[in-house]
Amino acid sequence: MKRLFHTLLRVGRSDDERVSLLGDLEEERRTRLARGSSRLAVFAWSTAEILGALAWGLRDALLRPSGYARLRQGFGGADIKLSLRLLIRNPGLTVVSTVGIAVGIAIASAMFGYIHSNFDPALPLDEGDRIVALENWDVEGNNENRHSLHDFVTWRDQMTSVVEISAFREASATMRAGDFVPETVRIAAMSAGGFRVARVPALLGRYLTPDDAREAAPPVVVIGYTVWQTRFEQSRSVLGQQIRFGSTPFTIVGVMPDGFAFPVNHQYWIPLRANPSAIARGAGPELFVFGRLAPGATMASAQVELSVIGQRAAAAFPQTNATLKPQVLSYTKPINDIQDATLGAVLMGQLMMTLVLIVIALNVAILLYARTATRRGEIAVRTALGASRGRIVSQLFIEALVLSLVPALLGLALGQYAVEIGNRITALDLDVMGGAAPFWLEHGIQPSTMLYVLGLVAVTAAIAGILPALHATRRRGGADLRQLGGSTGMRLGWMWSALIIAQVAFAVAVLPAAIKLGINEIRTYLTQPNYPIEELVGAAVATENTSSPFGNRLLELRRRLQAEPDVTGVTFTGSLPQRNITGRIEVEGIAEEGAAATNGMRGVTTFGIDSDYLDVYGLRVIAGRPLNALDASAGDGGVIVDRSFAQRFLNGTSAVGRRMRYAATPNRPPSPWYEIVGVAENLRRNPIDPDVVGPTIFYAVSPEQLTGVSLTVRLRGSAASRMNEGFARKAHNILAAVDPALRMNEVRASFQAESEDALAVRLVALALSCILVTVLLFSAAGVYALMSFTVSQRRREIGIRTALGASSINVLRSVFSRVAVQVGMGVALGALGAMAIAPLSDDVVLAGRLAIVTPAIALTMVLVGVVAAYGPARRSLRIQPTEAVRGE
Amino acid sequence: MADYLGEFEQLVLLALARLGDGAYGVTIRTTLIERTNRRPSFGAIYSTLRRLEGKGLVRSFAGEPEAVRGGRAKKHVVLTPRGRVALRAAHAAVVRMAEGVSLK
Repeated sequence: MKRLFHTLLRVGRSDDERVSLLGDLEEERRTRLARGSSRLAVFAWSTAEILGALAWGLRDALLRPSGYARLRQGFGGADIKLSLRLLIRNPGLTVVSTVGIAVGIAIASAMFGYIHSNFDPALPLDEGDRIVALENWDVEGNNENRHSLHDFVTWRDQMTSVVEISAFREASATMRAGDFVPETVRIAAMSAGGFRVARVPALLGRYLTPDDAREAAPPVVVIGYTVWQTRFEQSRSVLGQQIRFGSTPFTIVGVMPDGFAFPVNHQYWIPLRANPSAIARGAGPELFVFGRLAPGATMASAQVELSVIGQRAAAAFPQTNATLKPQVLSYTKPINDIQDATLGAVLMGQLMMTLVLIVIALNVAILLYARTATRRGEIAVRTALGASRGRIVSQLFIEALVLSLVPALLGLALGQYAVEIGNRITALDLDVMGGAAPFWLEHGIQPSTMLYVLGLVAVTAAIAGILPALHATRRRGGADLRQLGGSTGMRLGWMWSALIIAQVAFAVAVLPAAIKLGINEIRTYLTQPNYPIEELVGAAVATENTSSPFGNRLLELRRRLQAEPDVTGVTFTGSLPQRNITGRIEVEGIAEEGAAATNGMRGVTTFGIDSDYLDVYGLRVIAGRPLNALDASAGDGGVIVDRSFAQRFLNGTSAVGRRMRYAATPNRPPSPWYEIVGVAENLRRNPIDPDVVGPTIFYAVSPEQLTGVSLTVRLRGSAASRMNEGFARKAHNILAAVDPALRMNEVRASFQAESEDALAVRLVALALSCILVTVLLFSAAGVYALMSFTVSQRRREIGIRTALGASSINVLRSVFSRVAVQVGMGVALGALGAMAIAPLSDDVVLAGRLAIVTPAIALTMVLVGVVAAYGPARRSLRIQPTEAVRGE
Repeated sequence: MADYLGEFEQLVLLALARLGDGAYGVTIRTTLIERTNRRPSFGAIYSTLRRLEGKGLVRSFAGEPEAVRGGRAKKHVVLTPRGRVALRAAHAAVVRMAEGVSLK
């Protein structure tokens, strides 16, 4: 690695300058280490410096008129110049390789960047790598158990290898302060020690103390810099002011400095009040527990101590702790919700993506090989003039390096974009992040990712440059000088034939599954709502006060919203635990075979609606009747199904009056029977393939059964423009007037929520299409290059045959039989592979409408082989026998 | 007419003027960090120095190898008289431009 860096620094620099620069870097490195920076930080710094210096060197070399002369001092300017010329002279090769390598590197670097930023990121806090999380793992349920208030207290009191053990609980509430628009905010209810763990002092006032957590203490809050800046105009008199969370007033006692968002991405901190004597063991809030490794302790020694404490707890409280194994984890692991198995899967994915790049590199190698073959004469002359094999191999390596560098930059940029989107999706997925990035997430391309990409470029260049070069320079001596005449004498070994076969087999085996995935994604993307989505605004409404009935307040909220002139309808959906079942669906009176056919049917959605739902959404009841209040009050009341359900489960026969239930599973008995009282229009429609729309079952809910709902308000005209006119604020005010303890989240125009979901789908579809196109392009290009090269090899042989009287048919037959054998073997192997992987994916690839894909790809490969062989074969037939023999 | 200088070139030349005989990569960078609050990379500094040397505004010479630098020699850099003239001219231009302009 060191040598690689030193070599890189030669680019565009004289030797004394390079030596001095390395000396400066060494001096600075030692100074940093002496100042106490960690080795990792110093390594990251020096890597970034070297990459920066390389970029400057390249820039200078290219900008200066004497650039090439300087470059020659480094890599050998002539090599780079020659490589650039060859790139321009072979635009086809350049474009194909650029696209392929760029896509390969984009995918691999995106994966790497995402893993790096999410799976074990460095915390930007003082000795951040010594902050750890403690968590109970339930070995029976195979999941984490965060109801660990009692264990938290035990760990805090007994552990010596982890100190300052603290905990936080995620909460959210509607925040009101002065004249501001009420806003739903996320709050960290954190034990006082949490601030000490972070080692960041308050900017103003103080942070929380253990006294604040006493039951009788007045409620206090510490706010973040952003809140202080945006809500309080950085006023120093903010201390002592009050803000309300729900209906409770909290006094501001401190402001944290800019950038502080510990424990995740929080801007409000209140004391964690949880009294273990009032809460049963194994119950209470979900806590994230963390602390700092004591000086001298390691994760391993802490784990040993924690395991002993865990065993004692299991013996003392077998009912709650017998299956719990406490673990010491890196701080971000529980927050990112990453289990070891997932990490393994992701690392496996990383390996697969790197393999995709290697497949691409191999293909570039084939293309370069074919080109190298035409330059045998040139190589021979250089050898005759005294160039060593190493010199020539290094020249070809540099050619491949130059070919890979530009696509690597493109790929890095693309990959970075994908990482940013991936991080956004992660933040949206995890409740504890509340849709925003955590404080440890660094933006921009990380030095480690750049280093990884540099490694990939080196590997790609080694495969694409050195492999063909070694092969081309294997036979040495004057015999190759004959190639100057224009013909080539390189023979393709078994390795290259095997490559053609592998290439075709890979395409036939894997591409149909990828195409199927891509088509499914695109089909899903085309699914459109069957209701006027542009008029709808959605919000989540819940209560913080469970003592007074939610139902009445919800009805009052609906009444007041409906009274607004802009509003044309208000409805809500919610779910009852006892009705929220998934599983195989059985319909009474439908033959067992029919029911069995639904086995494994995914995507059946079930949810509770109020009686106005279908009206507000503008969905017609096409048979039977709508749901009413009686359906809601009866425990096993009727359901409405949609058209898609009726078509899929009842084969179009009348659904009304039949009964359906969720079949028994090994863990639970069957659900009660529910009568189908009506059939409604589908919620969504798909113009291309109606089958994509999943069936839906609606049951009736009434407000008094719920503690939280998804509210939908239909507005007159465009929801977007009403939102711009301040509808969200109006809704919050109405909510506050009904009851300050009600909480409203995510007030958004429905189509906005929809487009955020669509973004993820689009991204997956885009990535898949990129991989697909690249692999197909490369397989075809690789097969074409090898085939046409093989046939070119035989030009003389064909010429002689023709001279000796062979007919054109005979000659063509001999050419194509070889093509047929290689492509045929590839197709056969690929078909076997496709059959082997078919059971691994739940979707059918080799049957149904997409059964055509596998033969189509096989046929494409055969066609590519034939076209590749045809051109050179036809040219060979036109060779004059004298011309052919002259070469010998 | 004196040579045209970019902003970073001016800063580097000023660092050289300030450091006198003690100017080399590390000290130039430290001076820039302390006085401008920027964190230029060594690559940027070396690239600028080479450009300035090409214009004849600075001159460089190799020092003795040192253990603290892994046995590598320093490349000392000093201002040439022409560099001093260019720096003076650039500074005067800034002062003239700023005359009578309120930046408050």
